[in-house]
Amino acid sequence: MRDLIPILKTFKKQKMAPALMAFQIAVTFMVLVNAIYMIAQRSELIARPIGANMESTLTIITNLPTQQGDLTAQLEHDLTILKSIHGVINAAPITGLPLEGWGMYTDFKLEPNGEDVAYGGYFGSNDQLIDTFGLTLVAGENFLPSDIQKVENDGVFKSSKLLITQALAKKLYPDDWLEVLGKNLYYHNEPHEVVGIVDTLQNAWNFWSAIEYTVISAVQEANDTQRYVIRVDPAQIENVIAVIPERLLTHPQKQIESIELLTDVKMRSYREDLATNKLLTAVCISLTIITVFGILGQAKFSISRRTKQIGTRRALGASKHQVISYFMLENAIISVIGVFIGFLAAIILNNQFVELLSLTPVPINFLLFGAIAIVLLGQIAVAYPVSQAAKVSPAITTRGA
Amino acid sequence: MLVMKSLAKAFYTDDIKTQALHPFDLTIQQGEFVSIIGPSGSGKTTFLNIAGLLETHSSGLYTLDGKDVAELSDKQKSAYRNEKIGFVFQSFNLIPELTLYDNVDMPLRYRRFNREQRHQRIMQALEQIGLATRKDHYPTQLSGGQQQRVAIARAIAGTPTVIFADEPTGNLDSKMAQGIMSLLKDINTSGTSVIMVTHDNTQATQANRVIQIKDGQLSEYSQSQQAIA
Repeated sequence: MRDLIPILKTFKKQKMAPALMAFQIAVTFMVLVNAIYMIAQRSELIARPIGANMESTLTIITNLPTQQGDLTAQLEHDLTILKSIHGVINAAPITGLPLEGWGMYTDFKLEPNGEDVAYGGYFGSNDQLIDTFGLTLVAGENFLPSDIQKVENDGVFKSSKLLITQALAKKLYPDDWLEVLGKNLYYHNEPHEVVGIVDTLQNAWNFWSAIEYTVISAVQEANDTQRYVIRVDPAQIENVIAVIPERLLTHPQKQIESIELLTDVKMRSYREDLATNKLLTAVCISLTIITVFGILGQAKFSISRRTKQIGTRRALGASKHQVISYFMLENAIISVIGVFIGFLAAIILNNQFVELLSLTPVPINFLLFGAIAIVLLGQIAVAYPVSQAAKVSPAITTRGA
Repeated sequence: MLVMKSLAKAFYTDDIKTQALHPFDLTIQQGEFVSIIGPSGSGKTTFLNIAGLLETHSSGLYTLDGKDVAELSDKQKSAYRNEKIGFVFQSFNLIPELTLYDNVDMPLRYRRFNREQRHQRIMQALEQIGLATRKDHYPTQLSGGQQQRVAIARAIAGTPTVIFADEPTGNLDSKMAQGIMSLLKDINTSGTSVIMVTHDNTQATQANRVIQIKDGQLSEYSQSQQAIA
C-alpha cells in the first residue's frame, strides 16, 4: 500500500486515461451484473421441476374423430393400444399438458357461495396419471377406479374427486395444508372433494404466478383433440416413438399431431427464455472480452508510455515485485472506482428493469460478487503487461527509452 | 569501497561479440570524487551501469562495500541501489505527475522508513538544494537546473555511500552546470563518494581523480593531461 498515495496523486494530474478506463469498467459492471442476474433468474425459472418424470414421459396429441362413434370408446381403445406397445409402462389421458401454453384454469372457493381463495390450472385424467407422470403423493390417496367419471367434453363442469398440488394446499390452508384433505373445493359451482396431495405438478403456462397451483380432476374426458401421456422405459423411447403411429393410426380419419418427450414440451415452452439467455450470455462474453482487451491495451499503453519511468524506479531501488505491485494496485484502484460508479449505475438501471419489466431487484450480494469479479478480471487482464513492465531494465535510464 | 578486478563487459548481437569494456582493475575509496571521461561510445555509460548495478559485468570481480555483486540477487541489487547508491541522470528522470516532495519521497518509500523519517529526509534534502519552499511544485514548473537539483535531492535523501552521476550537466547551460558541480562537490565534502560520467573535461578536472575510457580501455588520467586540459 506504499504506492497508494503516489498513484492517487498521479491520477490527479493524469485524469483522462484512468477516467476512460474507469468509465468502461463501470459500464461493463452495470451491464454484466444486470445481464447475469437476468440470466440467473431465467435459468432458475427454467430449472423448476415440472413434477413429472421428464426423461421417461412421452406426450401424444391425436384426434378422436366423431365419425368413428363414441369418443370415450375410442379413448379407451387408444389407451389399450398404447399400453400394449413394448416399452410402454403406463398411459393416461389428460386434458392438457404441463407447460404446453394451452389449457384450462379456474378460480377456487372453499364455500359454495364464498370468495375466491385461489386460482390455478386444471387437468382432467384418471387414476393412472400419478403412476404415468411419476408424481409423488405426499398426503391422502390416489383416485380409485370407481372415482373416475368418463365424459365427452366439458369435464371441468363435473363434480368430482380431486388431487391437488402441495403448493395449492398451502395457499388454501397456510397454517396446516393437510387440512385440505377431505374438504370440498368449489369451482364452476360444483363441489370437488380433495382426496390426495401431490408434491408438484406445473400447469400450462410457464410465466404464470399460479403455475404450481394445479388440480387433477377424476374426470376422464374424451375430446376431438385428445392428449395422452405415456410412461416409457427410457431405453425403449426411440422404438416406442416409431411404433406409436403404426399402432395408433388404425383408420384414415385418425391423425397424430405430435409425439414428443415432456422434456421437449418444456424446451419449447422456454424457447424464448433460452434464446434470450443465449443472447445475454453472448453479450456478457463479448463485453467481458472487450473490457479485458481494453484494460490490457490501456495497461500496455500506460506502461510503454512510462518505460523510462519504470526504469528510473528500478534504478532507484524498486524491485521487480514492487514494480508489479505498483501497476497492479494502479489497475485495482481504477477498477474499484469504475465498479463504484457501475454499482450506482447498476442499481439505477435495475430499478428501471424492475419497473418496466417487472423483474426482481438485483440482490446486494450479487452486486458485491460482481464487484469482486470485475476487480479480479482487471487484475488478470493487467497481469501480462505488468509482468513485461517488471522486465524493464534499470539500465534504460542511462541509455534512453 | 568499490573494487573491480579484471572486470570486463562484452555484448553479443547475432553471435557478434562487441567488447564494450576490456579487462581492467580499479579501486575507488570512500569519499573520492571521480570523473569518468571519454568520447561518445567509449564505454563510459557501460562502466557507470555496471558500477551502479544497473547491468551486470561479463567477467572479473566487482565488490561494492566488500560484497561481491555477482552473488547478489536481483532483489538484493535493488536494495543495494536503494540504500547505498544515489543516481543523477542527464535528463533528470523526475516523474512529471508528482510534486518535488513526492519525487524525492519515491526511493524512500521502498525502504522501511516511517512517514516522519521520510519527511525529515525529504525536507533536509530539499533544503540542501535550496528548493524546500517549492516542494509542492511540479517538475515542469522548474528550470532544467532546478530539476537537476531535485534529482540530486532525490539521490542524497537516502544518504547513499556513493552517487553515480551520468552527464549531470549535459542538458544545462554553463551557469546552471557550475551550480550543479558545486552541489556535487558539497555532497562529496560531506563524505559521500561521487562518480561522475562526463564528456566535459573542464568539469571532469574539478574532481580529485579522473579516469579516461577510450575504446573500452580504462586508464588513469594524469595530472599533466589534466593541466593541459
